[in-house]
Amino acid sequence: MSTLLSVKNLSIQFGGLKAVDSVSFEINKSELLGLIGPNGAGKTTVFNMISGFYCADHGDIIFDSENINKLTAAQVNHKGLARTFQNIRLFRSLSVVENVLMALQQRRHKGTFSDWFNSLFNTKAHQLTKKNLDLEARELLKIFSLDHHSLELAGSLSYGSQRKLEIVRALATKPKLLILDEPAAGMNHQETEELNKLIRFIKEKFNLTILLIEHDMKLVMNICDRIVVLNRGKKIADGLPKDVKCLPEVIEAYLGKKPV
Amino acid sequence: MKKYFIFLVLVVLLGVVLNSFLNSYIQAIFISFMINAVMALSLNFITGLADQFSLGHAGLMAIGAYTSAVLNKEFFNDQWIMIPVGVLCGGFLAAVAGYLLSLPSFRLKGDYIAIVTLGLAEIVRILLLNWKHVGGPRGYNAITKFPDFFLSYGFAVLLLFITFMTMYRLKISWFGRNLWAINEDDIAAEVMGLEIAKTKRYAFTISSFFAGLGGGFYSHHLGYISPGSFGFIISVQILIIAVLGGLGSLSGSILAAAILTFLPELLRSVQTGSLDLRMIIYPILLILMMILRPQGLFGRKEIYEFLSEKWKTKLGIQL
Ligand SMILES: Nc1ncnc2c1ncn2[C@@H]1O[C@H](COP(=O)(O)OP(=O)(O)OP(=O)(O)O)[C@@H](O)[C@H]1O
Ligand SMILES: [Mg+2]
Repeated sequence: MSTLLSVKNLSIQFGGLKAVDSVSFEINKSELLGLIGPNGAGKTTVFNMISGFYCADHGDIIFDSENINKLTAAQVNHKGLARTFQNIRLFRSLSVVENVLMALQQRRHKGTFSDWFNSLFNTKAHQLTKKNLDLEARELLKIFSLDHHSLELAGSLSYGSQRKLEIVRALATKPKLLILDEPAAGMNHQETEELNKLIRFIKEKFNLTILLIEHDMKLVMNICDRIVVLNRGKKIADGLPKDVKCLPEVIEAYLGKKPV
Repeated sequence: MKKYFIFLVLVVLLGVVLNSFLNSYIQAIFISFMINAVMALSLNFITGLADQFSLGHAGLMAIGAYTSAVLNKEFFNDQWIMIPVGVLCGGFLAAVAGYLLSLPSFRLKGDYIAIVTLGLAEIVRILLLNWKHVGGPRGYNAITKFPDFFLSYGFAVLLLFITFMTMYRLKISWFGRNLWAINEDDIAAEVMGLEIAKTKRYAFTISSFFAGLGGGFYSHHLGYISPGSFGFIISVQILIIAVLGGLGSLSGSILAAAILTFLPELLRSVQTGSLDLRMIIYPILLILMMILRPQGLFGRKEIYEFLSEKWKTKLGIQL
């Protein structure tokens, strides 16, 4: 199995706080890796470094055998890495389909001369591209049964649908690796069940590798192929869900030390 | 094609009416309206669509105005036929200035941009004040003019039309969508693979170009410009028009430019002796507007979006 993403000795410090301390892990192609840990463990911070928001103090991030340490968030996306956010970040007053279109169009329109020319003169080619993008967006929405909401404002969707739309939008950038930051946060039991199915489904359908942060243990144990556990910025475990679950360090991190 | 033809007929008709039945005072107001509309559109493109607050549009206007005026008077032998070339050069120089300004400043966000653009406008104004060759504070006069109203009017309509169409086409295209996205959530937009600073830079350069065009034509319309014509208050007036029409609404900017150009002139008639009621009514109207429709006349929408589906298809508007 080949490695898609490998993180080596990643560290970052905020003032006196070592938020992430020499963390290393790897994700293989078509794997679903869970990243768990108690609040403030540094999970989101690891995501932020991978996706180009924070620049790591030390360490390397190798994606598809390329070092992506110094790239900006946009450049990281161009390499084939898409993410969602712990607190939903949709374009709230754009319609649902516009949200998807915005992501889709980044590959089609890079701002070349013909892009400008065609849209200024509304040429046949421009109209065709527009139509095709629109079809593509609607097809994508249909897969996630969001198509009948396509003209509603993204901000007016139900919470669960907003989470779903954020995933659709990330997929629209055609990533190889999808990073989900607590997609089940704030969802009820039924919505979580659906999400569980959805994640399995997109992984197959789009041939994806997924890195998942999650607090919902049931979800994580259910769908992850492998789990990495962080605590206070350090990696404390890495292995199969059933093995990790029983490790004393992990239980301790979540529940505290057993009284002697 | 048909709608452009109808538009052309209407424009010519209005021109004929203005030319043959109305006096030069009213003619001049019409042209001022179109210049104001161009300026407001230019500002709306950057402030409304891309959410970059600019307080320096008068500076960009000044660059366009002085460039075109000096070129025409001193290099193009004062021939009206060369006015469009001068205006175009004014637009390009303003665009260059806008681009250079945007290089460092679009690492900044939000209100800081307003300060930087304000700085640009002040620098331009002070340079002009001290540039003796163009009259310094006394201003630059006897600038080339169009020989008759009809040419001037035609050029103004063409300028407004090109400005509006450019911005409208960009607004409804991929570029406009990128700007909205940045406006909504720049972090999410970046994660989608959009290079935000570059996009904002383009928007600001385009906006500057049209501000330069507007300024260039302004100098030939009045025949006289001075650094005082491009003070801070002018930037604010342009901003008021854009806000009144609705930030993000291009047709709103044109309507607001019409209202705010014609209204003060209409209110002249209520002036009685030393009591200038105009200066009371005008601000009261603006305040009422802010209370009743804080999002501006059209909000973000274009005028046709208020039409029913039937009329939209009738007029051949599709999105
Ligand atoms: N930009 C920042 N500046 C300063 N401190 C930060 C910053 N980002 C994160 N931290 C700190 O780093 C630590 C790790 O935060 P992080 O958000 O990565 O935790 P997490 O594992 O995602 O937690 P949660 O499960 O609550 O989302 C926290 O103590 C947080 O306060
Ligand atoms: Mg987090």
